[in-house]
Amino acid sequence: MAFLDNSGDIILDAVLTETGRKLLSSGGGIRISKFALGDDEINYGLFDKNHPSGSAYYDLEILQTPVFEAVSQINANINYGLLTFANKSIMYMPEFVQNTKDNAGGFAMPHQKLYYLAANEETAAALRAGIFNTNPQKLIVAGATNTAAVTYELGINSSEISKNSTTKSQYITNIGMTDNNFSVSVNGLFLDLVMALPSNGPSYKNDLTTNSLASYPSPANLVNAAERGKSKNRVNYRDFSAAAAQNEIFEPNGASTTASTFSVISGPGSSLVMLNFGIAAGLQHTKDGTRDRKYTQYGKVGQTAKQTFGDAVGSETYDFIDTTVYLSANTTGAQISIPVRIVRRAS
Amino acid sequence: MAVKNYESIDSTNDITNTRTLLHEAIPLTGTIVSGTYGTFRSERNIKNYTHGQFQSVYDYPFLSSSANHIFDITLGYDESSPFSGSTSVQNSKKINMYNQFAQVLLGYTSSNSDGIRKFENDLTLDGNGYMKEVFFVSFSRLLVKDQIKKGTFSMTFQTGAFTTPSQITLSDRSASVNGDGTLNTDGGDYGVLYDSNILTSNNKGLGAIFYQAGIAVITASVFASGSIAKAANRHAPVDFNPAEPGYPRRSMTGSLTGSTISSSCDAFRRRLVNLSFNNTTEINSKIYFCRVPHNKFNYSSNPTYVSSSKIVVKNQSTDNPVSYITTVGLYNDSNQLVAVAKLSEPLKKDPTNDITLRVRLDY
Repeated sequence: MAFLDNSGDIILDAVLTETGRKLLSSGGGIRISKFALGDDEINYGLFDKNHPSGSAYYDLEILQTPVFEAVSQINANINYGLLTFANKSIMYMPEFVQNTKDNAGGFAMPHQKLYYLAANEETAAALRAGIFNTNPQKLIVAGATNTAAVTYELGINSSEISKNSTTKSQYITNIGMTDNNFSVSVNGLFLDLVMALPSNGPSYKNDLTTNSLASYPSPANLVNAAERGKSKNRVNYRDFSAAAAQNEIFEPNGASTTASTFSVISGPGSSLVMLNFGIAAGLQHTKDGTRDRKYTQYGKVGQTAKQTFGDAVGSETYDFIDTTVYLSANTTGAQISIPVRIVRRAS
Repeated sequence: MAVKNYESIDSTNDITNTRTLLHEAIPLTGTIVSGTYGTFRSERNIKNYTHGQFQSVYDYPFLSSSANHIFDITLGYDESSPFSGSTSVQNSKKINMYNQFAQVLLGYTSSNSDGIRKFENDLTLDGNGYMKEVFFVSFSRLLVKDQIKKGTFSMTFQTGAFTTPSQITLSDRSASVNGDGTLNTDGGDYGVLYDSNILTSNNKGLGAIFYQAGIAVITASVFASGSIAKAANRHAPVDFNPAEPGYPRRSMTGSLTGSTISSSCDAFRRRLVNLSFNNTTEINSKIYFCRVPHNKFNYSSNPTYVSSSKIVVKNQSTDNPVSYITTVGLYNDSNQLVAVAKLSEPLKKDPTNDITLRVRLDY
């Protein structure tokens, strides 16, 4: 009888993060009371369900993944995380997909993969007359409720599942995968306000007979999201709590058009998030006003339209700052990072 | 922002404290302190100061940023020493040096006229067996860390004439890590340094080693000559300081009265053959038992976990979900990430296993 291999005893050495060190130095103690697990290094795409040698080899490559050392910076350790769901038979998880359908009105469209956020009405006017003249969907004005807003659909984006109320119940509602609350994390240096849909606002819904929109949220519905304070995991970031509209776009019955007229989610949708942002004080100054130093420090100033938008339209120059907004679903953990360019007319 | 699932750590059952003592062997050869980085008395790893009260020894020329300070040497005698006198070179500084070390390491007593307890060649501190003329070797904390391990200290000197030298090894062989053979004083625990070659019970101490302070006190009688009481088997009298250009030949007696502290330290370095001890680092650890139940942390929010919203580690819904742990984050009540531990390789987690990860945080 051979001995059991007990070499798997797991003892890990931990390192304090910057936050931990700061707490220790302040004399308050770190008071650890909970833990979470991460898998940032793992590429689950390496899981080979068709490995010819059998199931023992499915995760061979994953298990050989080299793991990085711990770092003290708080946002370089667990950017995602392991999740707990009681149901073991979950096969699909919702994900965010950018919705740029313009027939519902107000769904912003990125330009050159960036959402352009005009810092003031003067800039917005220049963009309306210039680069976005033919596509006002690309123009988002900071804090406005009458221009387009960043819109993401959350749902099961798989053509394997029909898009109807039955599958929504089966794959989302009945197994606890409904997301009603979201976290929006913005860089507080540049953005100081998040606007989102209210929890009791109109749902995103089509008429299943005519396949026309029965109700839909628009930027006019946006309200200020509640701020939760400084981000725990990102330096300079601030977290906001946002709600969303129910996503009830389903395949119509016998209509000549399909649900894809309104929805970019192939399977059942869960919710629809719409966002706009307020910019930090000073960044909104007009071209005749004082240029905020943040444009110089963190962005670029006096750029031509070609340099700012990739297209040489108009003779104006612009200042801009690029930032990233992080959106995550509180129940299912679905996440998306949204690239935003804050743009201000400089001349 | 990403973390959605936390698991509580029970402060009673999931946290324990441990204390570990780590030891490192510190061997120093005499060549590094004398002659390696230049000619004797002008080595580039020896720093002398204008105040002339002690000499610093580095492991590399001290002007280099790579140099580490390893110890200081100085010399002192008690005011009641026969060598104390107004004609002695740096007389007051030698007395001050002795008193400073004695004050800090031994403290005060009403038995002596000046109130300062003197170094003795035993553990009794009863006013007998004074060591009134001594060299002090103060080791850097870089070497000593928290303390010198008891029973590991030894120092070998060349004695006798330079042409026909012999050696003496001083060690704290009567001290042990449990505290036997040591005495606790104001300066921490100290043990007596004995000649390793003499095992008889009447072997007298030739110095003392203060473990926490990292200071060795060596009686000048190791290099005995003249009126200094010799250890039992010393070759005597000897030349402590051979004649060199600019430096007259001196015995130990002559060196105490006629040489500067720095010059005597030079001669001391030249007599040093070997030095070794084990240091001690005390590590206090808190171990957190992170218990991962079978029914938790089986899914992931990693973006690669799904493809077209479908979980990639499943073929069908009845397959067990699988995740792979690489990181453990420790959080406080405010959900602030205060410490992070990494696994050496991904650890498979599914509903068929539960895992306890022991995460150690050292202080």
